[in-house]
Amino acid sequence: MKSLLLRSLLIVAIALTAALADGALRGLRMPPKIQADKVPTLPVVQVRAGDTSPTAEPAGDGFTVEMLVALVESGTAILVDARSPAEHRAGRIPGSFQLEPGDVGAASARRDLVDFLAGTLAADPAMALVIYCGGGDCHASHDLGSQMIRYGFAEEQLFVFEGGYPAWVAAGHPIETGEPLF
Amino acid sequence: MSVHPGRCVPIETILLATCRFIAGGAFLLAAMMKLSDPPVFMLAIAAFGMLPEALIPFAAYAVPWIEVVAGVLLVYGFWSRPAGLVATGLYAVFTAALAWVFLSGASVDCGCFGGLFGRGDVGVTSLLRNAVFLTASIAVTWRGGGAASLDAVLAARRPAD
Repeated sequence: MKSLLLRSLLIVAIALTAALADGALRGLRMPPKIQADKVPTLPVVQVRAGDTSPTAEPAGDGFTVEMLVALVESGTAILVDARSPAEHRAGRIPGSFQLEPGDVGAASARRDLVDFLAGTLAADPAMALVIYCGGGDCHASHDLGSQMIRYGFAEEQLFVFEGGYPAWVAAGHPIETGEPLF
Repeated sequence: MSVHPGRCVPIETILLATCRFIAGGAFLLAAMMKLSDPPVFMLAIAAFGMLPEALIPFAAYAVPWIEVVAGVLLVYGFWSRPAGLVATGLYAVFTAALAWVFLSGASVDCGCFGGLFGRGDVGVTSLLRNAVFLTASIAVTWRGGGAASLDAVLAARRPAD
């Protein structure tokens, strides 16, 4: 029994030594913006039914498609499509990237894209990332946004475009189809 | 006890080898994913809300390295019982943490296997999976690595006193 305990302690000691060395090399620091203990409330960018025509004025605090266009054209916003890859290929807002809830994480095949987006936003605090999906309750956009904040994205740079792809199409704006670049 | 060609392999040998591979293999797989991106594992630990923030970065390295060392020993069957004891302790902590979160009703990402199998909230599946690993570890701690382990090979070669 004594030998069993001593050997167990030796195993833990060897592992902790390796952990300290690894941590010293790679940095024993928490990632920024830890909000994993709560479900964050994302700022919501809304497109209302009456705001979807190209000439519509924003209703109250509403957010028109035109405002989204202006943001993207001025280079101050990146668009992310939270719908499925198939839906993204079938039609998307031009220039948008595709990420689904679950794509944000260490093991994700889309990690390069996520890290690219995180780096772009971190380099320019004035840049916004607008997530859209298929309209409706827009659960996918909110889930993806929450995961991004947990991953380290700054909450104040993330927005959800609740009108989504249907509002964009209804406003008569051009779409992009086929295989995306990323 | 040792394995002889042409003879039936005792069921205990097969069961203990299976337990070692289940407990050790799961450790190695989980450690590989956690060590590939420690900050993500830090977020997963923080989500459980059980550790002070100052300890989380160290835990994010310590846990997977304990998994690596114990996992390698379990798979090879060297120091099987001590490695099994360490695995039992770690799996017991994991299972208790999962049960705590599950019973509290909170929606927390399991963080199991570094998210290898996608995002999944703590639930019955993750609890049952951990219970299997815990049982396998207890079996190895109790009975050793079995006849198909490095421990048994070394013991057979050791000259009799």
